[in-house]
Amino acid sequence: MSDSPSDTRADAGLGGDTDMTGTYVKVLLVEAAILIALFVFGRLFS
Amino acid sequence: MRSLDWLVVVVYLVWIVYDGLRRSKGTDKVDGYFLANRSLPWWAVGLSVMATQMSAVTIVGTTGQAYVTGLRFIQFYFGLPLAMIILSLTVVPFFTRARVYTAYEYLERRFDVRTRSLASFLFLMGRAFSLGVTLAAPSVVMSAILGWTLPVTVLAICVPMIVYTTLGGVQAVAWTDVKQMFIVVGGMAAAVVILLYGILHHVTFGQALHLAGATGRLKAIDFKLDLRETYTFWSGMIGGLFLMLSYFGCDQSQVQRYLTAKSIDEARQSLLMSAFVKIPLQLLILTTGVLVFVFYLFQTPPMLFNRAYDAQVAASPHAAEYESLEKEFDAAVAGRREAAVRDNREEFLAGDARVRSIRDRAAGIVRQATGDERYNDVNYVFPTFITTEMPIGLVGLMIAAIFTAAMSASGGELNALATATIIDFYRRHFVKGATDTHYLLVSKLATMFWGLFACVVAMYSANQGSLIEVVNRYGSFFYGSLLGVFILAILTKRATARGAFWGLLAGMAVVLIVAFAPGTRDIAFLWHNLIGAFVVVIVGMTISRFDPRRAGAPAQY
Repeated sequence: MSDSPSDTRADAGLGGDTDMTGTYVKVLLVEAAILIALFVFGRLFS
Repeated sequence: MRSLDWLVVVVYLVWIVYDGLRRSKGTDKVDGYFLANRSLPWWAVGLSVMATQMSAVTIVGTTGQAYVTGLRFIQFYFGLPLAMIILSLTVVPFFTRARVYTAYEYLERRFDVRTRSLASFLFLMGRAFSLGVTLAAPSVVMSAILGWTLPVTVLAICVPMIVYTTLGGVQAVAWTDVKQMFIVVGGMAAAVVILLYGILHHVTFGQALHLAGATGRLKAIDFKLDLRETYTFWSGMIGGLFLMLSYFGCDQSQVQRYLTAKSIDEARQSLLMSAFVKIPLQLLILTTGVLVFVFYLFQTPPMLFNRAYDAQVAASPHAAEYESLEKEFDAAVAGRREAAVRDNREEFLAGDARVRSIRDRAAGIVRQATGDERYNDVNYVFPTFITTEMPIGLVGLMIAAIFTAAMSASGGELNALATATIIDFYRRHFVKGATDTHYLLVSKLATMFWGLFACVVAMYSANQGSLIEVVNRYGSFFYGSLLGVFILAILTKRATARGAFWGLLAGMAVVLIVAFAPGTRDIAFLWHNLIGAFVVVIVGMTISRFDPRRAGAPAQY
């Protein structure tokens, strides 16, 4: 094994790089829902 | 603990080590040892990512913290989902395509060997000492709970962990992490069921929530914009975002987890798993702590959960005072219980304030009697509940879960320390072009060395409270600055090696000043990550602008 700056073991053939925008949106929606729930929950039981 | 519980602990620990080693296929080469031949499924990587962060301190400390202050610690994680999205879009495809072993390897390709070595060195120093602390904190608690000496407890955690991490490499670490996550979540769910069973004998679920809420323990979100407050919505969202970006994007112990994934998509999915699950998981742990508080409204808790100094206090001149305080405590708890059952809010809050004041006075007596100024019992609340209130068999499983949480959090860090040592230093600077067998052997020796180093730090730091604090803060001195260097490397074309190197040093220097200067030392540590990253980018870009050497564009992968 060599390890020089020029030795880029880059592998352009590495598969599975698809667009995951839908999943990112779901992550944000789930977080927003959790934050709202926590806020309401805190107000309701304080 | 009874014999059956001990049997569960021993059988579980033996099985976890045996199974970790059994699954370590393909660890006869460096790629297999450090990156599992990039073959792990996303869900295993995702669970491993979460397990590496969920140490034993998370189980005993977070529940204890929730017992005392409630859900507000959850704000620490608010930046995590957004950080995961940003990392999925930026460094994950970058690192995966670059086929690097360490995140710092990429810095040499983009800048120079000096920047790579400095970044890797910072990681090694910070992670090696914090690994010791990761082991020390649960060891102190478990030694008090189980009645073992500290060295025996440290060795009980370290020896199995060093064995499976050294022999099995990252595969053993990852599969142990997977099991740990199931055991911890199952154990916490069981604890919640037992807590609810105990609570619902006395009040309805709605009343229980009102009692917890009346004391402020269900107020999870604080919108106050105060830089001195550690946990607010803003510190979690902004400071936490930068901390999570640094931790998951620049810390080898995390980067290495997703480098083991089969593809870019699987690496992304493993991180996005945390984005979905981490906050609910932390809520489960915090809620358990809040329920322990409600549970002890109807049972008489010990006045102080940390009983390590009982004998010392009993033999001190404060013994009589402490004894009369215990009687006062029992009466106050009984009064609070009555008010809780009658649903009398004012009386209940007054009773709770009385109980808290007595606990504070008792802790003060212990401090006076023992000279231990840092005495507190937060980390002892949940272990006390486990060992005194949970049914036989489940106690053993929960204790085993705490032990394996300590092991799996440490195993991942140990493997990352060995990787950075061998790839960034040994193979880069000292022995180039040796055989794979040679590198594998020294990798195992490096793993063993860091494991033993962590054991020594754990035993030493357990009795050095101030050292633990220093080590815990050390990470925030360089995390943000490291993030700044990676921003320069990946997102800018004009940054030069000189700009990155001096920018990194400047970032750390400014954070150090902010952390200790009289006017700014009250700023909560989460903001240090933002400050560090910002200074590195500004200084790095300024130096690069006047650097006569031609700037290199970021390598495209």
